[in-house]
Amino acid sequence: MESLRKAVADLGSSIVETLRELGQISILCLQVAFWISRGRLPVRQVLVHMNEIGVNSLPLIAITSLFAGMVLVVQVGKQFLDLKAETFIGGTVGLSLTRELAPLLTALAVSGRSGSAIAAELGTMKVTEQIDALVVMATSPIAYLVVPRVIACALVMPCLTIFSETVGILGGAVVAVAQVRISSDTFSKSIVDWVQYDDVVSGVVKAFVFGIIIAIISSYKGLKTSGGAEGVGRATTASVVLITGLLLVTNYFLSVLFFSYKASLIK
Amino acid sequence: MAPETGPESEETVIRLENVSKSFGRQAVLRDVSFHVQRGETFAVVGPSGCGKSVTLKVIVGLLRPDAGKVTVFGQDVTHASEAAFDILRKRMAMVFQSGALFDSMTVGENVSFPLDQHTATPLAEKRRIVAESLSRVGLPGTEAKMPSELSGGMRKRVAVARALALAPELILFDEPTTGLDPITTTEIGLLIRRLRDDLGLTSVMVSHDIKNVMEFANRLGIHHGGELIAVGTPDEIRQSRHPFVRQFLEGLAHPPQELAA
Repeated sequence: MESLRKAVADLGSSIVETLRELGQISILCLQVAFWISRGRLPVRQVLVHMNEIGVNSLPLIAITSLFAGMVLVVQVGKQFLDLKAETFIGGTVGLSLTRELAPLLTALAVSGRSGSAIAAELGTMKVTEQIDALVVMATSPIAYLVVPRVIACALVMPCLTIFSETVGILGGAVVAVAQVRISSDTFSKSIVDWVQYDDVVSGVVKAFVFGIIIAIISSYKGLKTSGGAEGVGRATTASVVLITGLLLVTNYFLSVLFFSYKASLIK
Repeated sequence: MAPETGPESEETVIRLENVSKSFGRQAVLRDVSFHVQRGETFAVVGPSGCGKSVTLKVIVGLLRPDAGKVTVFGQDVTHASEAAFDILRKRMAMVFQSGALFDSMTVGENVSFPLDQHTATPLAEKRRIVAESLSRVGLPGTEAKMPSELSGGMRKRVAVARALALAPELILFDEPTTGLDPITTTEIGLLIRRLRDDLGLTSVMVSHDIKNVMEFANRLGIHHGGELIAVGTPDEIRQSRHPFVRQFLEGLAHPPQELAA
C-alpha cells in the first residue's frame, strides 16, 4: 500500500515537474519573441554565433550527410535495379534527404555539437554568478545571451540543411554511378522529376523550427543550471536528451502537416 | 537590541523593513530591518553559509522578499518590475564573491561592459574610463589580460573596477575578502574605504570577516539564524552582551558561559 502510494506520488510529481518545465520553456520563448520585437538586434553577436554554430559545423554535417546519401543508395539501388525501377533511385534519395533526413540529421548534429556547447557555456555562467552579474548590470540575460543564439541557430539551420542535402545527393550519386552502375543522367533526371520545390521548402522550414528548438532548449537548460561543475554536466546531458526527443516528435508532426497540406493541394 | 529602522530622510539609500525570505522550509531572513545612509559603509556579518548574501540579492532584485518592504534610492522596490528595477540598477553595482567576470572577455572588455551596454561613450573616452577604473583598484595596464590569468584577489579588484565604470552611487560587496590572504584582505578593505572617502560611495558588504569589517565599516549588523540580532557602530557592537555576538567577536566554538545562561 505504502509503495503504491509512493509510486503515485512520484508519478504525480514528475508530471507536475514536466508541466512546470514546459511552462518555463514557453515563457522563455515569449521573452525571446519580446526582445526580438523590440528591434535592437545584436547583429555582431548573431554573426559570431552563426560562425560558431554554422561554419564550424560544416565538416561534421558533410561527413554525416555524405554517408547518409551513400548508404541510401546502397540499400535501395540493387533492389530498384532488379525491379527495373532505376529511374526512381535518384528521386528516392532526393525526397528522403530533402523532406526528412537532411533537416533531421543536421539538427541532431547541431544539437550534439552546439546545443551542448550552449548549455555548458550558459550553465557555467550561471554557477559562476556571471548571469546574476548581467542582471545586476541592468542587462537582460535573455536579450544578451539567448536572443543572438536563437536568431543565429534559426538562420543557420536552413543553410546547413541545404548544404546537407547537396552533399547527401552527391554521395548518393557517387554510389549510384560507381556501384549500382546507373548513369549520372538517369540519377539526376530522376531527382529533377521527383523532387519538387515544396519538398525543399518543407525541409528548410523544418530546419528553421529545429534551429529555434535547439537554441531555446539548450539556453533554457543552461540558465536553469545549479550545483557547480556537476550541475553543468547534468544540464548539458539533459539539454541534448530533451532536444533529441523534441526534434523527433516535432519532425513527425511537421511531416504530417506538410503532407496533409500537399494532399489538399492535389485535391 | 530592537530592530532599527532609523530616521526617515532623503539621505537613506537603502531601507529594509521586516523583510523575510525562505527557501523551502529554511527561513534565511526573518524580519530583517536596517537602513543605510548615503556615504556610509554598512556591513552584514555572520557565519559562513547562513544566507547573508540573500540580503544583497534582495536589494538588487535578484531575489524578491516573501514579506516586508525594500526601499532603494527612496523607491519601494518590493514588487518592482524588472524594467523599473533596471533603472535603479544603473545607479548601483555589485561585486560578487567570485568576481563573476565574464571569462570570455578580456579585463578591459569586462570593465567597459556596462559602458557598452548603457552609454554611447566614444571609444577613446571608454578606454580612458577603463584605464582610470583599473588604476583606482591598483591594476593599471591589465586591460589585455584574460580573467583566467588573474589571481583571486586581482579578479575581485577587476570586479570592483567594472563596478566603478558607470560611476555608481552604491556598491554592494558579496564576501569581498573570502579566500584572500591577510595582506590582500586589508588591501580590499582599504580600497573600499578609499572609494567611500574619495568618491563618496555608499557601500553595503556582506562578510564573515569580523576583524576586517570592524576596521572598515561605519556600521554593521550581526546576522544569526536569519535575524539581524544586533545593529550598530563597531564600538556599539563591541559593547554588546548578546551571547552570539560575544561568541562571534571572540571566535569561540560555544557561547561564553557567563552569558549563555
